Amino acid sequence: MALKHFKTQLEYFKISLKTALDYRASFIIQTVSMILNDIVWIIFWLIIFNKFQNTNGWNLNDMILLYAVILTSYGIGGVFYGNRRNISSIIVEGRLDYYLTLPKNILYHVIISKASWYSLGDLLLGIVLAIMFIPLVKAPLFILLIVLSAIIFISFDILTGSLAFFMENSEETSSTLREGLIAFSSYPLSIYTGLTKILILFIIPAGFVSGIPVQLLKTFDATWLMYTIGFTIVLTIVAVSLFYIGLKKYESGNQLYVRT
Amino acid sequence: MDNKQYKNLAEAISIKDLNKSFKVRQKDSGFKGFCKSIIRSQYKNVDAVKNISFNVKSGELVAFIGPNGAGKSTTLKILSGILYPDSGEVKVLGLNPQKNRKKLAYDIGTVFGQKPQLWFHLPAMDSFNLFARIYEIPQEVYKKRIAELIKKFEIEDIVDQPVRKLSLGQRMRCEIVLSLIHNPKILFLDEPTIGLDIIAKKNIRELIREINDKENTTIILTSHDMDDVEKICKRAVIINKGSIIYDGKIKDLKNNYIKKKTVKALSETPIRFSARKNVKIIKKSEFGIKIEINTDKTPIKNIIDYLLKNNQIIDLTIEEPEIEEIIEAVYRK
Amino acid sequence: MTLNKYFYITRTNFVNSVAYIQDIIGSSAFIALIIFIFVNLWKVIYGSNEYINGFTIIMMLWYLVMTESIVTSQSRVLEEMGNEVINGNIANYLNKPYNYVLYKYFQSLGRSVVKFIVTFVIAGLVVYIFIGPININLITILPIILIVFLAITLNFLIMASLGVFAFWIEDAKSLDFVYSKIIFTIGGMLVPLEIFPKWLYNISIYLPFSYVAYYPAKLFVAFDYMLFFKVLIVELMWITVFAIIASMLYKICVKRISINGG
Repeated sequence: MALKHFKTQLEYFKISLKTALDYRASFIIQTVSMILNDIVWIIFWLIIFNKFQNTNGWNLNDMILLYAVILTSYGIGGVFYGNRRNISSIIVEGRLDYYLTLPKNILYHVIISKASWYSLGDLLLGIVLAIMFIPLVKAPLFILLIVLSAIIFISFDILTGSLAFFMENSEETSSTLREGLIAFSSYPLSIYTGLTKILILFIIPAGFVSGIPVQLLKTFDATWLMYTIGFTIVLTIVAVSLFYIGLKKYESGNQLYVRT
Repeated sequence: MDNKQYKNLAEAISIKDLNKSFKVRQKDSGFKGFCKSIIRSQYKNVDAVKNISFNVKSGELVAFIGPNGAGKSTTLKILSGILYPDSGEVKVLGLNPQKNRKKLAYDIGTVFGQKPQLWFHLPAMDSFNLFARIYEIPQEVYKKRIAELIKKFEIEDIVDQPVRKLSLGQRMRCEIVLSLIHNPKILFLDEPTIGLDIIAKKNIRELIREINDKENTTIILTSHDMDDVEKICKRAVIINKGSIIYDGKIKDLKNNYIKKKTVKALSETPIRFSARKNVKIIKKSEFGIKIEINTDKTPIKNIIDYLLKNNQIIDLTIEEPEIEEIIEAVYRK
Repeated sequence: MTLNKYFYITRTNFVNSVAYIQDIIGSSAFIALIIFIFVNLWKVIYGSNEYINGFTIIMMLWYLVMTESIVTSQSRVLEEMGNEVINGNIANYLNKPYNYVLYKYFQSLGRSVVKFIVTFVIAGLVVYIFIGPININLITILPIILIVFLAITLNFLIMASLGVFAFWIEDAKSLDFVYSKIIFTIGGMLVPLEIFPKWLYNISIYLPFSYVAYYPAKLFVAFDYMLFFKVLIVELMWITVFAIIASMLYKICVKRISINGG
């Protein structure tokens, strides 16, 4: 049964790729500009860490590990589950009905039905960084961590996207929350103190997405790994439940939006 | 559901005492209204569907008609599991669409004239392949089926072209093929001929009838085009303001209500036409006239001949009654 | 060609849609987040040091407030202009009695000013709460406003010139993306150019990008009359250059489009 689901995903993947390659120049430019963007950031951090010594223990190597983790996990989300950031607009524009008439699990169908090729650059660069800077012996741990991060990213997107079931005009809020997660995850995480630390662990889970994985890659700690796995599971359950609760509301037809 | 079960079903669709109402947000205009709506949202209850009941046997061709806002789309959405009813019993192929959405989806096909399901930038073939996967059709079965459908719908030359390059008629044929790939037991068609030229419309209607004929597919059609209704379906269910006001053979509908035609004529010379039995003069001016004819009692040919013989006709229009008129007539009766 | 009609265009676009207000709220919230991150970052980096390349931590963060406000005020302009080029809408402007670039400028001006003010207030609030206020000589406010206005104008004109290229690469979003990265780095948006290695600093100060973010923000936190006059002249120079380039490019582009039928 799961195999059949993957076959559907593969088909959508093929379609997304075909559509993108139709505009070949655009496709290449998008991928290249993403890679350039990421490289610019790496150079930026190179300059910063070269110049400054005080960074609460973070150094350039940590920063590269961070990038390897978030680029790969974010890239996976984008390439394979590309519609995760479009949940709000799909709900608002009445496009859910397409999915509701087809015999597939709704949430899954929604997120796999598009590939976001902007993320391909991230994914490629992330993998390159991983190959270059992560020792082979840590590869299984790395793979586990990026799977967890990817799930957290996707679940967070599902959570924020589902707000559209409950609130009017939620798109800006969702979008800001998502960008907030990416922003917090892309800066060294040792710089926060006290209350902020709690914020970035549980509210905008940048801590679990990149901070803790980097720590775990440096010094393995089974307890923190368990915490991360636990958090991932809880977040996923909450996000998926919220979506289906909202879906029920949507199907009861209390019209927040016009449905033709 | 296999064919044997399907044939043995008493009813493909059964609806009993279906009710559905919506809470629609009331927004007063102006600044005051804006302030009001922030403090407390006002809701108005709108009854979309009031206590309707009807059944459809497997293999039937039913037209589901009514003016806009009558409750058609609401009912269709409830049947396809997109919307949940407030109360009442709905069974499609023996299943509750609310509880068995996914299972039912394997046996239902939908074509929405105004909401295409084909991917716009890619050849229709790619959409077909996608849906084959979505419906989990085994490759050998799919290959045979799609070859059949392509041949029957005569789309060999266009399946590999991007859908955006096709004409509306070609696109519709591909949309219908898309809805039939998985051999659905029930097909919901919502405005399938909208925007098509006469030849394309005829073509589509024939194809739909053939599918029903060959595969015993139950067809539920909504359309504002009375020709669609007449040429495809045998039975009509008319809904207005949430209630069913007619459920019976289209033949009877025609006989009772549609045999009226309106003729508008414009003449170069002062128009000559006198009142007579079974003909009602709706409007008359010096050079023009608008007449309503009961074509059951008076062949329209007679009236036209008379007009042409006795006047210098420069413009002549023959109109069928609008569906709203028919419904009004049905309602009044 | 009276200027009146252009001001009318500005005013009309000023009070626009719910989407516009949402966009402002969304981007302000995001900017607050970024500022917050940088407050933490600089706090850690500064440690017990008072100066880094001549900037105190207060100056450093208010510098960021200014650069973010300028850049955010026009955050989607390049993408929008690029899209108009791609879908050939600009051909509609051929037969209108105004200059396209000028029209676009005034159209976006109202929004940019509002966005600038809102961003500045929000970002400033975050810095004020976590770090503190900046010392500014009140006399310098007017010259600073002038330079900021010129910087916004220059930013617009550079984006207008780049927007044309959307036609060939058929993608406006990437263009916007790449340009914003350039401003982030050698435009001096993220950090003052002094932080960069000497060779990079030397190149950046001669490029027009530094006049969009770096110089206005530097004047804001460390006003100096000599610098002010120098920046004023160079801003005007770059504005003239890009105004000419943009107008020329659009004339060519519009001709191309109308020949090819859109």
